[in-house]
Amino acid sequence: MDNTMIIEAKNIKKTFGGVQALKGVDFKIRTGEIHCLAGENGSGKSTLIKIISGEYTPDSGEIIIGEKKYNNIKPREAIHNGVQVIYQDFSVFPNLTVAENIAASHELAQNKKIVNWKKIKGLAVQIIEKLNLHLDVDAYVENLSIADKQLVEICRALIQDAKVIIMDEPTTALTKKEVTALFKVTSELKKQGLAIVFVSHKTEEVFGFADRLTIFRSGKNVVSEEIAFFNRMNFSQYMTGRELKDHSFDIEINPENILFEVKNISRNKEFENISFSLCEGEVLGITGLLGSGRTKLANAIFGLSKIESGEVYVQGKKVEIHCVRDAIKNNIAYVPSDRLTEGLFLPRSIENNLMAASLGQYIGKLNMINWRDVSQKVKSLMASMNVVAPSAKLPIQALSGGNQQRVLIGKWLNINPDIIIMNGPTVGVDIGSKDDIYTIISDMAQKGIGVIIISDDLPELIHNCNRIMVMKNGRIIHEYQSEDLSEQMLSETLGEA
Amino acid sequence: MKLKLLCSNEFILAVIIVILALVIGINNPVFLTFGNFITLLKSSIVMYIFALCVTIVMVSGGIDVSFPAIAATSSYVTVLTLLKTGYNGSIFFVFLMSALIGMALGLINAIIIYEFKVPTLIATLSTSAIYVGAIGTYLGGLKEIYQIPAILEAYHSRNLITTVNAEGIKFSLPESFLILVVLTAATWFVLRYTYMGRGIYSIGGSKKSARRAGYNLRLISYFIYIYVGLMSGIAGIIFVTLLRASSVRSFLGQELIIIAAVAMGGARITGGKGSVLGAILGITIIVIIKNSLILLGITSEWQTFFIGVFILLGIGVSAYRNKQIA
Repeated sequence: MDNTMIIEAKNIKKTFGGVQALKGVDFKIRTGEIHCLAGENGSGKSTLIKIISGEYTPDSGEIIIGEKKYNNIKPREAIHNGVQVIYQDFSVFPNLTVAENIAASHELAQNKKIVNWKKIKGLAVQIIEKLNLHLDVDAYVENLSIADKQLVEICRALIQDAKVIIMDEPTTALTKKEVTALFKVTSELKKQGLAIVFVSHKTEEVFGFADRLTIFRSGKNVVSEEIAFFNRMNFSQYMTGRELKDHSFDIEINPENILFEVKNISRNKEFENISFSLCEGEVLGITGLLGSGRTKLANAIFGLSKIESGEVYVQGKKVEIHCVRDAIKNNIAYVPSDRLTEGLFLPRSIENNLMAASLGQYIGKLNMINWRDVSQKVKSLMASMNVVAPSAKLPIQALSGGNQQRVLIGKWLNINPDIIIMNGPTVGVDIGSKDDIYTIISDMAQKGIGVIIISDDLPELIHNCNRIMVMKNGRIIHEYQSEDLSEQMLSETLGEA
Repeated sequence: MKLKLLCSNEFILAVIIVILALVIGINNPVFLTFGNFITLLKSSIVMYIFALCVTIVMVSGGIDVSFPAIAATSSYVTVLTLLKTGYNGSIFFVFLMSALIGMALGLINAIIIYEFKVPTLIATLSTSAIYVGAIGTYLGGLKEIYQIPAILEAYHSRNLITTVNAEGIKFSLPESFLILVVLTAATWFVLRYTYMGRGIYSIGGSKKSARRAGYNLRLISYFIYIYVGLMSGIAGIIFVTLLRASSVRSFLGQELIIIAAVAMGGARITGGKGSVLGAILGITIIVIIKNSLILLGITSEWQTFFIGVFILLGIGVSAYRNKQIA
């Protein structure tokens, strides 16, 4: 393999609002390699990509491309130097044809004023044939699959003389077949001397396709080696690190005080014969691969779908939960996994969102809402949840992911729940907020609330939970006490699951 | 390829137009005479220009309702100036003056929309109320001027074609038809063959992607609204010469029907889609219904009803066909 360096990032530091996202990171990209960048959420991968592409300015450090050094590279310079980023949210024009999507920005970059349709089509066809793809240049991009849209972006990157193509989690929305097809294209590009950087956490992809693997953790590059250096064991070790392990639980749990219990609950094709109990102040983790039934289980407990058989007990009393209202009546709260579509009213204010579940508490004389009490409560909730915003009137979509998540949790805490189910509590949340959320979780437990955390994030579960259950195909296959559990063990159970 | 053509909006509209023309023509042969054709063209010149304005804004993802107000304001101010000064030189300068006023008003729209990020519909609703209100208050624009300046009167009688039918009635196609042809060709060319035009489609498709692709969003927005102002200013003068009268009121109230006609022509209300040909065909249907149902013996009260039906039909058929392909 040719070992020429194309891009080198040296000692990059970047801080966002007091949180150090990158703590002096080195990163090298060589010609003709497929380089996987892995790391947990908030470990700084996206930040580094945006610094290389010029979207963010680093606090310190330098980017070296070929002979040139940049302390503060601009997007145009990055593109000029052959750096192309394919973002998760795409930069295509759905209303235009494949040909125009591929070739127009190339022509535009050369300051062309008049469109030469023949040339645009010709350029697009040429690049598509070069990569051996099956794309109709006359098709409108809005009618393409996500995988094909990605290919359109790759073609566009190539036409602009890309030397490095960086793909931010390219495979999240692809089927297995499409993933294989995508990596066939990338290995073709590799042969032509390009470097490919892709972000992924999925072990099969990392070991299946990467030549080199770099792992970030908490804003640092912890390891960067050829793929042969890694195996599944040390991969998860590097991913998770050990610093979270020494966390100890000092909350005494009295196994007598059972808050919540389910006995043999089932729902056709979703989950089967689930039984578990949750004590006062206990934090219970549920994990499992996608499709293991963990979210379906949470939905059913919260009344979003019907539990078809089995029994549910709250504080020792048998209850029937047919709808969300029943769940709330029994003081069960649910923080859903996708806060953007399921949890928040995006254009509405922080205040509206915080109060959305509990406005009924503030009805006073004449059945009118007592707005003074509401705004006082909003203030105190924002303070206790550590929500940073200049005003409670700000639309929630203006906040960062971490702040949004804390508002969502605050909304449910305000109904004074006995049981709170959190599905992916720190997905898409930065490091600082992650810690805040962990503190909130342990505060809740201290107050005697029973917490159920559903998560993929193994260190997160081990860090926060007293007990962890692993689900597979709608059943609970293992149950661990956190004390006698290591990440490797859990990750291996998951792997076999 | 064939399927694509058959499913295109333009094709469906063309079929509707042919059927309409045949139905009306069979019932009343007057419709298919050359004279009637010229009359229809003449009465729709201004609507066609307005349709171009609507198309360009809709493609960019906006809705502009201020073009009649801009046309009214710029032509009214121009007419007043001509009456005051008694200018009797070249008609070119008359159009130029109105166009410049229109461009200035368009610039105001652009600033409000781009710099202050006001939604296009709200921005243009407000500015059109302001323009009309200002003219009414300061220049007495709500009164009709029946005695138009001599230079416009002279332009009124300049025709490209004149025919006389058997009954001795004269039909003539005014010279301003040429202006429509030029503006149509120019708009088509800009949208199809310049990166400015492709930029308009691009921001209509995705602003974020357009920025990442290197389009100058500010330049494009300013271009759109100033160009609309220019066309509106010109349309205003044409309207005055055709009507031989000038009043602000007679312009107003057409914006929604024109927007609907352009939408029928395939422009997407959310932006990114639309064509000059589609807009022209959409307006043509409206014009035929407006002017010709009466030839079928359908009273004028039914006009708006049928316009509504045809707009639904035009939009519905293509939406349904597209759904079937997808």
